[in-house]
Formats: sequence, structure tokens, C-alpha cells
Amino acid sequence: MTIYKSDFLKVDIFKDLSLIKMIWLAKTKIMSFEQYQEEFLNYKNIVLEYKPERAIVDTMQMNFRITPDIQDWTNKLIFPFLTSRKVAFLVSFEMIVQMGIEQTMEEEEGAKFNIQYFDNYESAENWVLQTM
Amino acid sequence: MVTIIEKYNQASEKIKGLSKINEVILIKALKEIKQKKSESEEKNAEILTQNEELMQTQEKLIAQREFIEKQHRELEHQNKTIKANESVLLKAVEKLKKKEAEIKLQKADLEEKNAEILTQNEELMQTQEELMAQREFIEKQHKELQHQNGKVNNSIQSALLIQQAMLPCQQEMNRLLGQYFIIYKPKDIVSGDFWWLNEVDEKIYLASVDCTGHGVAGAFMTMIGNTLLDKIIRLKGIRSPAGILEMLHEEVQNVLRQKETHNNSGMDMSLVCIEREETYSQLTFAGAKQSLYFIYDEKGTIEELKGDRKAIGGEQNQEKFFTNHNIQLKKGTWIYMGSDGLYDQNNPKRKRLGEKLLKEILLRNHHFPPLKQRQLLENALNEHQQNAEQRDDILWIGVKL
Repeated sequence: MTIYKSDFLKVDIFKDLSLIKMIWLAKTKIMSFEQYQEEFLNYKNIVLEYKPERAIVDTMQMNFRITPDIQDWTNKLIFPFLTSRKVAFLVSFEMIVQMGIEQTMEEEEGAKFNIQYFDNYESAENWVLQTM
Repeated sequence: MVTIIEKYNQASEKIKGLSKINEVILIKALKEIKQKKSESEEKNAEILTQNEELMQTQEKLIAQREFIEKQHRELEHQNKTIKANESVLLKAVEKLKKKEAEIKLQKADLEEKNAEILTQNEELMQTQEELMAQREFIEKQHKELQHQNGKVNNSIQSALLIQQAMLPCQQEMNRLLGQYFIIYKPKDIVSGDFWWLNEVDEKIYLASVDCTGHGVAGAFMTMIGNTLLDKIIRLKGIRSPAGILEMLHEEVQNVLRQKETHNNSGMDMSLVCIEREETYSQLTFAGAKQSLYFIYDEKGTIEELKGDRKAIGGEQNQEKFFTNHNIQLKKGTWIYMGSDGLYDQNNPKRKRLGEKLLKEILLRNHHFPPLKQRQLLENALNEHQQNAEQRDDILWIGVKL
């Protein structure tokens, strides 16, 4: 069920699977840092409301560079509040975008998640829905 | 009057002349004006044309400006993207440098460890070579020892045959003792313990003897003891057990030249002379550091006739003599004697079996047949000894009177 959609982000929730899907859209190419912050704060609020245990983060179309200062912000102000500790990432086609994502997940808070990267949705879903 | 008219005409002529001049001038001026107007119109037309051209140019410029602004915005975005890429790549480079430094450290550490391992390997190789040499040497020695051991074993096996031949034969024991049992467990192959049995003048002489030492040394002493007992009782005709022990003591000293050599070998022993009657038996017992035990059925006790605290052979108190103990025991009474190897046997915790427990076992089982008594006594010994090594030769004799 889609419960949030903007130019940059779409969020689906599957209560019975305790799963949340975060899909970054192609328009993220023109997204600013402030807009990124706004999107992530919205996402955080959704997570706090539904408390899913698992997440699939689809960054295949994402075209926003997560620079070190944004990585830092995400780690400090978003990650500590997320309940979904098992996260499957669908990797971005943009190499630098993917590097930024991986750097974010290697920081102090990001490293606490159980994560894996996939190049297709089926494998990501299979893995994330396995018993934790 | 003429003058005025004339003047008038003159003036008129002049005026006419002037008008004509003016007319020419005016015509000329008009022409000029017309020309100028024409020129002006031409210029206006030119200006209009120029204006139109300017308008077109302006429109082009506006379009160009918009295009440039658009390009500028795109460049700004690209610039931002490049800066973002740069910061992400810089962080990646920093991480790589950090990892490279860590890898360098690990590499150095590994190289150091490798060098250590190489040194250790060399040492191990040397040690292995030494061990190989030692093993070869030991194998050689082992073979030699096996060979020697084989020879010694063969020799001892021969000695065992001789010692077994020396002991009373079963037929004779059955004839003289009737119901009896013997536990005979040498510590090594041959034993320092032996028993001696003979019938002389319708009296049965039974001795249990524990010679000094065990193994081959002990076995040699048994040969001496056996020979001397034969000599004293059967050839010299000594009949008193105490007398026999006294003479045996002297003979051992003589045979082994103990007074000269200060050799202290000898033997502990029990010697009992049994005269069997219809309903009882008369026993004369003398002991050298050994006792005779018997079951006192009426009292339900086991009694002990203690031997003298003097051994056979070696340096002894010359004022001490062996003594005879005479006792009459009714038919069917069990008597027991043997070496201290039985009750001195220790368990893994170094605790002895002890005389007290031995007596309890004998008393508890005396009503059983001889073989059963022997089995129960051996079981008790094994249970006590467990996996502890046997410390001495064991000899234990039970006889039903």
C-alpha cells in the first residue's frame, strides 16, 4: 500500500510482512539537500508510526549524491530512530550515487543495520523476508 | 511728375526685377526644400529599416540571453554535481588510503611473522633432523634391547620351569593336604615366595617361605631355601619346627658366607608340623616374622599364632631363638599362612589391604569350599588393588585339617 508519494520519493508499507519499501525516483537528479532532508524526515515519521522490522530501499533510479555532510546528517538524525534493522538495497545505476549510499551505511549508525545489496528485486525480497 | 511715374515705373521695374529674383530664389529654395524633404524621407525610410533590424537583433539577443541563462543554470547544476562527486570521491580516496595504510601495516606484520615462521621452520627442521637421528639411535637401541630382553625372558622362562618343578606337585599336595587352596602370584615371572611340603614319620611339614627380594634374586634364594629345608628335615632328621628354623638360619648364613660378606639376604617363613588324628590334629608351629591363622569355630573368631620377630639369614639377635607353639585343633578347622605380599598390597591411593581386613575376609568365607574361598580372596584383592602395581610376590595357603 502506497502511503506517501512526492516528486522524489515513494513509500509503500506491507503491515503483514512488517516491511517498508522506500523508492527513490528519477527526479532526485534535481533534489536539493533541504528537499532530501524533508523527504527523509517524512520517511522517519512513517517508520515511527508503523514500526516495520524490514526494509527494501530501491535506489536504482536515484540520482542524488549523498555527500559526506549529508551522510553525517542521515546517520545522526535519521538512523537511530528507524526500527527496520534488516535492509535490502537495490543498487543505483550511478556509480557515485552508489558510493555515497555505501559510505552512509558504513558510518557508525549505518553499520548497525543488517544490510545487503542486490541488483534485482526478487533476490532482495527473498533475502529480506527470511527469518531474522 | 514724370519723375514720380518714372520713379514708380522704375520702382515697379525694380520690383518686378526683384520679384523675379525672389521667385528664382524661392523656386530654388522650394527645390532645395523638396530635395531636402526627399532626402529626409529617404533617411526616415532608412531609419525605419534600421529600427526593424534593431528590433530583430534585440529579439535575437533576448533569445540568446535566455539560452545563455539556461546554459548557466545547467552548468551550475553540473558544477554542484561535480562538487558532490568530488566530495564523495575524496571520502572514498581517504578511506582507500586508510585501508591501504592498514594493509601496509598488516603486510609488515605478516612479513615479520613470516620471517619468524621461517626461522621457526628452520629450527624445527633442525630439531626434526636431530629427532630423526635420535629416533634411529633409539630404534637401534630398542632392537638391541628387544634382542637382549628376548634372551633374558627365555632365560627366565627356563628358570620358571625349574622353579615350578621345585614346588610340591599337585598330586602330593592333594594326598597330604586334602582340602586346600593356594594363591601364588609372582610379582615378576619367577617368584621369591615358595612353599615346601613333605611327610616325615607320618607327620606333615608345610612351610610358606618369603625370600628376600623378588624376581631372579628372590628365585635364587628359593632354590637355596628349598634345598636347605630338604637337607635339614629329610637328611639331618630335625623334627622340631623351631629347631628347623634355627638350623635353616645357620645354614643360610653359612651357604651365603654372610659373616664374611655381611650379606643380609634371608627369608621370613611359617612352618607347621601337622599330626592328624581321628577327630583332631596336633599342630606345632614356628614362625620367622610370619603368623599362622586358624578359625575358632566355637567362638566364631579367627585366631593368630604369632611367629618370632626374627628372620632366617642375615644378622640377627643371637639371644633370640625360635619358639614352638603347640595347639590341638579339631577336625575340619581351617588354617592359613603365607607371605606379607598379600596384606601389604596397596591400592592406587597407597592404602594397604591390611591384616585386619584379610582376617575378616578369611573368617567371613571359611565355610565355603577351597576353590570358592580362593576366588573370593582373589576378588577382594583385585577390588582393593584396582590398577595399582603389584608391590611384592604373593603366596597364601589355606588348609582344612
